[in-house]
Amino acid sequence: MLGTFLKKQILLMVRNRQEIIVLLIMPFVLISILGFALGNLLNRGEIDLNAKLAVVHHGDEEEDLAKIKKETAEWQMPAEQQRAMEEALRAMAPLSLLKKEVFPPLESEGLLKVEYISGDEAEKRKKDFAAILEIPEHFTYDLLHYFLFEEGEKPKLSLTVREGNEISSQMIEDILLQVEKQYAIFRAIGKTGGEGAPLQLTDAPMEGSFETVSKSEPIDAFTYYTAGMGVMFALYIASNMASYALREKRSNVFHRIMLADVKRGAYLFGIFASGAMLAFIQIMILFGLSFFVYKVKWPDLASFFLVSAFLSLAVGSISVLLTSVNYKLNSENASNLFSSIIVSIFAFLGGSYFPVSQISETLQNLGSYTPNGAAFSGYLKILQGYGISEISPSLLALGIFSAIIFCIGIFLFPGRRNEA
Amino acid sequence: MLETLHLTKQFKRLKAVDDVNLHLNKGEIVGLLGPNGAGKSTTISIISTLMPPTSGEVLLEGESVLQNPGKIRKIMGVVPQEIALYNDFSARENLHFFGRIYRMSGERLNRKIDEVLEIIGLFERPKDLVKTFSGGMKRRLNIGAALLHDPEFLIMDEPTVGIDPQSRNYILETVKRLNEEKRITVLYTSHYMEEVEFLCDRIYIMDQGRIIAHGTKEELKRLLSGETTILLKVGQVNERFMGALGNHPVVKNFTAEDNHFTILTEKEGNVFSHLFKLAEETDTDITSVEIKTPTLEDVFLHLTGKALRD
Repeated sequence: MLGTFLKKQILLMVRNRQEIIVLLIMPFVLISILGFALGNLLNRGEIDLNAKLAVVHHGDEEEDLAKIKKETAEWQMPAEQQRAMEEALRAMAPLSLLKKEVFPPLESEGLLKVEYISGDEAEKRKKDFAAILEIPEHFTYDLLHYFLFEEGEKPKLSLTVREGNEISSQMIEDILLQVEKQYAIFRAIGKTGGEGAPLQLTDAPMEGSFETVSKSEPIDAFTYYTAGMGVMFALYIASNMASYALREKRSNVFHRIMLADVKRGAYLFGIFASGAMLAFIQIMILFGLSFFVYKVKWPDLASFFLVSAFLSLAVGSISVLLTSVNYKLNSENASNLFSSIIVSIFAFLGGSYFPVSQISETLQNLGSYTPNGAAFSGYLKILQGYGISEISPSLLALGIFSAIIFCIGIFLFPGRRNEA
Repeated sequence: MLETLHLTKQFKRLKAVDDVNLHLNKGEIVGLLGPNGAGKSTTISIISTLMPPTSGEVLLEGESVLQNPGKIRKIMGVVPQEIALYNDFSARENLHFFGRIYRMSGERLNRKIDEVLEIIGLFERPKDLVKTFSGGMKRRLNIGAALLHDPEFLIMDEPTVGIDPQSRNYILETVKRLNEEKRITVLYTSHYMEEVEFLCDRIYIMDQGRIIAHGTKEELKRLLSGETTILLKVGQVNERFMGALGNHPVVKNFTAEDNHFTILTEKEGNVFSHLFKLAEETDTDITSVEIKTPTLEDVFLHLTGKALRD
């Protein structure tokens, strides 16, 4: 029965391209951007921690997106493919990408402060900023058009640097350069149908390193963010599982399963096992990619598999809890709240964005109780050459977390009597 | 084979099912007819063990289904009103999944899937994704998923909602064939009286949670032996005519749809003269008039004073 549920879940996920993008491509993109940008930055050692960047957008990204969508619609692709293309275009929209994915971790770390202002205001306050990034009118359209159709000239951003702020501006340039590289990857994925393209960056130089914990080997930025993004994005499996489960309830598929005399506990255990297996597969793919592309190596594979397995169990348990709450409330609010807010908070506390040693001790302690934080700490210790005894606190934390969350999930799942 | 005893389901202040007693004999097709909100779906949810009743009992061969739901689940197939399928799966993948959860596997499952695809007329499109299917095809696959484990007893909850007449006929013929060839007992709910008339040996009529009548088609129609159903068409609908119709002592009930009236009157010789007189007094032109053979719709009108689709 477990095999049937697992096969069903894998098939559902594989058939949904948007989820593949979120669960596999997005973390890899972030590993690349953060690895390159922060790797260079940290190597320099002396930076203005309060670098202020003004972003002036002269156009309308939604308008540009609508225009490029209209053009791709003329390709007359099947509806499913067209939808996937539109989702991909939205994911590639440069201003949104900078605003939502690239700048927030740097802002959280206090390395950068970004303000989105008008051209007039930028002119008046230019002394307040280390650099002003100007995005010309129709930039989104021109950029996407250039990458999709391979026509015209590649549009350019304008970066004005105030004298004396070269280091900060170098960081911003590095970030933009890496974002541009990701567009090339997106384009290559589009051409090859999603296979093999990311390998193009294999010869990229790996620069910079920063200390993450007190002892042993330093960890380079790519290794750090591979583990950081891996533990963070594994959590999204749980919200996806819960969303699928609610769809099963709403379409009465769940009732059909119950009528086959499958016990509710068995159904929930199926959710748990599928969530755990999918998280494990996702972690393996992501870390495998990082191994091939950025040469991220694990000194102790057995310990690595152990931490990954415990993290996967925690993801399985969260899947059960979110499924139960979704069923109880008959809405996706719980899984949406988890994926949109709680994962970010967990990632922040757990150290996925930057080393937890840079924040207060209280928050650091709190982070170690999050499943991603505990797994991350375990991964970092393995990477620094520690043995299995040093990672056992992380395993214990993950084990206890999984057991408690699983039990709460089972307890909250509505029985026959409580269903409307 | 199966009977319910004083079945009641209370949702806070609403009594969705109120003291329902019904029985099904082996090999019968029994209809549960009623308007939307009559309590049909709640009744079958209780019978199919998806929902416990507030009170009452469901017995299968004399044994309580509520205490031992596994027994009925093994021999029962349920076709829900919703399309309970995975849209991103093909027809075959859906059937394979539902077969697996019934613990079927290997060659037996594959053979059964082929047989079911043949029965529901999807043998030529097993690999197409459900999301590419028409409404009628989805409905047929919805039925197919309930047939995989060779049920002896099939519960069908409005299985033809929202589909074209051709697909509806196909489904009705399929149900009839399953009953005749495999002796499957069927409990069929619908608010389409023509479906129930076509399929069912016996009929229960439900309204506001209660069974208000039951029997064979002929027995139910005999309820109208003292009444005549008249179909009347007028040129222009006139409020005064409608008011006068409602107050006339010969008229027992009537429904109006555009300029068509269905009027239930007492069986007496001069009904037409009453109607023409009413029309004249209210300046209404009668363009056609006919006496109709009684239908279950008329029975429902007689019993509740409203149309089935109200």
